Amino acid sequence: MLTGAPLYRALLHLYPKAFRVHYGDDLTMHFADLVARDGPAAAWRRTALDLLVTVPRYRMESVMTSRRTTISLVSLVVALTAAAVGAFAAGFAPVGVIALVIAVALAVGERSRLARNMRPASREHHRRILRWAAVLGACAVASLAVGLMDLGDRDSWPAGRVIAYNLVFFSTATGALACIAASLRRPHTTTS
Amino acid sequence: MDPSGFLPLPQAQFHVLVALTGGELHGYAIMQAVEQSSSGVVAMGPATLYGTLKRLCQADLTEELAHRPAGNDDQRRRYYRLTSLGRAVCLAEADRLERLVRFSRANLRPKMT
Repeated sequence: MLTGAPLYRALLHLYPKAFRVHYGDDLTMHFADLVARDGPAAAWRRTALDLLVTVPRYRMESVMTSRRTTISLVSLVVALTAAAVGAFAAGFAPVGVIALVIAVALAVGERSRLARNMRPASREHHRRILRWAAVLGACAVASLAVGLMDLGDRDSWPAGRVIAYNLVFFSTATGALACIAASLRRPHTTTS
Repeated sequence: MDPSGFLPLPQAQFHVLVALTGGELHGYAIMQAVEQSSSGVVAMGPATLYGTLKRLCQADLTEELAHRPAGNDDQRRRYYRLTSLGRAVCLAEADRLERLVRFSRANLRPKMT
């Protein structure tokens, strides 16, 4: 009887490698059990629908949880923050604001995605995020104050220092905002 | 860890946890148990089932057995069982659903005049 088991084994290559390597034998045996119980037609009806639903989902999860994606997103956030600093320094404030907003949105989105993939946040984790928000916020305020004191009474501001102060201020302010946004997620209580 | 942090459970995860309350099972047996407990309404495909098991293992709600309990069964089959956390989460979800059913029945039942 033609069961299509070799075809199913071949179709398993559509899944991410880690999933296929770990569960490949189980999936193949499961399919063989389905064929033995329900017949090839019914087994394929169930399995085809399953493939259609799960292949894109597991592929997407694999891409979204890869370290490479996180690193490239973090790089993009840093580049956007640097671009915002440059735009502010060059006098294009609206461009800087847009770049900064996109950077914050990306940072918050990535952080939330990672958090969803991890265990529920504990109260201690929540407090730690708030502590980081406070530290980064204090750094941002301090860099702004020092920058204004240093540059305030000069006729022309040296470009190098302006960029340095802006870089410190906007990166710490972005981090503080990201931490505050992340802390808005409801913490879960832990009993242990 | 507080079981309520996992609620509400996705339907597939809850069905798999309920299936494993009967003891240690391999994937195909879990699928059969899910079909039986849902009167055939829930029919999980193989990859959906193993994807769900993967998530449950990552969340420490189930665990893979190092040994194979059934001596005459295929040694390649992977067996799973509930962890103590998984049992607590399953119970918490059952309690949640019970309250929901009680509430909906009370609201849907014709009011006595």
